[in-house]
Amino acid sequence: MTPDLTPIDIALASGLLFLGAGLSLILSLGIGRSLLLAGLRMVVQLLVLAVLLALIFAAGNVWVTLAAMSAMALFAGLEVLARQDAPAGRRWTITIGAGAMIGAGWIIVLPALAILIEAEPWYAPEIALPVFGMVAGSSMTGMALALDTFSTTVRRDVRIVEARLLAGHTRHQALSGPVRQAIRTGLMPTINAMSAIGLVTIPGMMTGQLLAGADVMQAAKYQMMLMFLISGTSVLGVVGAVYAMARRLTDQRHRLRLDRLRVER
Amino acid sequence: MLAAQDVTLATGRVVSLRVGQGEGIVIRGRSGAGKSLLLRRLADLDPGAGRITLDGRCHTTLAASDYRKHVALVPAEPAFWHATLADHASNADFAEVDLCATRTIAPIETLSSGERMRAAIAITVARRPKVLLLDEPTGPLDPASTGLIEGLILRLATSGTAILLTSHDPDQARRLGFAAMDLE
Repeated sequence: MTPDLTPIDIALASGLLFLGAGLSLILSLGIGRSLLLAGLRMVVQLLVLAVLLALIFAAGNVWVTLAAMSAMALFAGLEVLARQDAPAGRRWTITIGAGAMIGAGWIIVLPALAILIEAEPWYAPEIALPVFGMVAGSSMTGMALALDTFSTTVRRDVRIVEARLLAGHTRHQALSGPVRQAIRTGLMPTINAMSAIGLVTIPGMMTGQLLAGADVMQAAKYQMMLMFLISGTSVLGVVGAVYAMARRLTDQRHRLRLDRLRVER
Repeated sequence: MLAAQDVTLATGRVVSLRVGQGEGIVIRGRSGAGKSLLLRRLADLDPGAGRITLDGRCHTTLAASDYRKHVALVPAEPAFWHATLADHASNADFAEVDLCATRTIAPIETLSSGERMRAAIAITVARRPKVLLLDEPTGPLDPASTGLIEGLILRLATSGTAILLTSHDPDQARRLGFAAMDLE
């Protein structure tokens, strides 16, 4: 088990922030204030998270757990929106991001909790929420990248897409190039993460288990399973989000509807 | 054959027109008047108010792909999705638009704007549309190529194709013997 940390331990560790702020002052970096504010935000956010998790864990209710997952997916959708250069409508982008996250996350994570991890009960929030959080966090990056690549590619290749529509192709055929490009780009972080894992850093879940005193091989096996869950969720989420966006940017008459893209600079 | 009634363009202009089998209309007007937008509406590429009919049937009663096979648009800046022209249409008569065999297998990026326009016309004509919409088809062409394309347009009209084209050439309607429509 990891030894308990006292408030004094935390206060001492926070001194490193002041070291950074001091260096910023000496070197005129102008980031001292941002560093201190970010540190303060981190402390407040983690304390709030700890209080919320304690309440959810104490409730131990399936609906509360699913609602917490939905809230996490909604925040993921907001994050996906924030990373778009030209989102296809605020509400639509959040809905696609959160919807793909909930759909893909639940399809992959819930059965994994029940069958692979054999959590008791299957929705045990102490296990379900950290696992869903790690899966959602990684998949969210892929989805944001994929949707941004999709809208950028469609805008760049608008004449080619319309030439195909004019040749009698369906919207799915006409958008096949941008769809493939977006899905490939969206899955790159997952592929890279799996390829490089363990070479530079000890991954998050494994670190947590080692700190908690788990067997090294057991921690590695959990990390492997988590990476497989992330890859499955990313594939489903990215593919679902890109196809949903392809439908959003076209209509029933197989017309490209770039007027639905809101360009933000 | 093709009729547009009170079609509203993105510029706010409301247009009505009718073109029958073997007939031609040259749409004229300054840049920004809405000539290209009108052709895009007729090709069902843009949504908007108004009624478009093909052979008396509202265009929405036809599947979009079927409608665009009958009413084909060659845009002012044609685009291609395969590596070469030959990959786009094996049955296209590229020689008719003065593109030799070596140009049809050359990478698309090596073609000039005039060659692209002639190629796009040949590929579209190969689909045998009932109505051919041409957005400034002779804009990027030299006088000899212009004559070549005008000859092809006249042959298509004689064989029954309805043709609408946009042009900045004040003499083109007279040379083709088509009606002129000013979007001013």
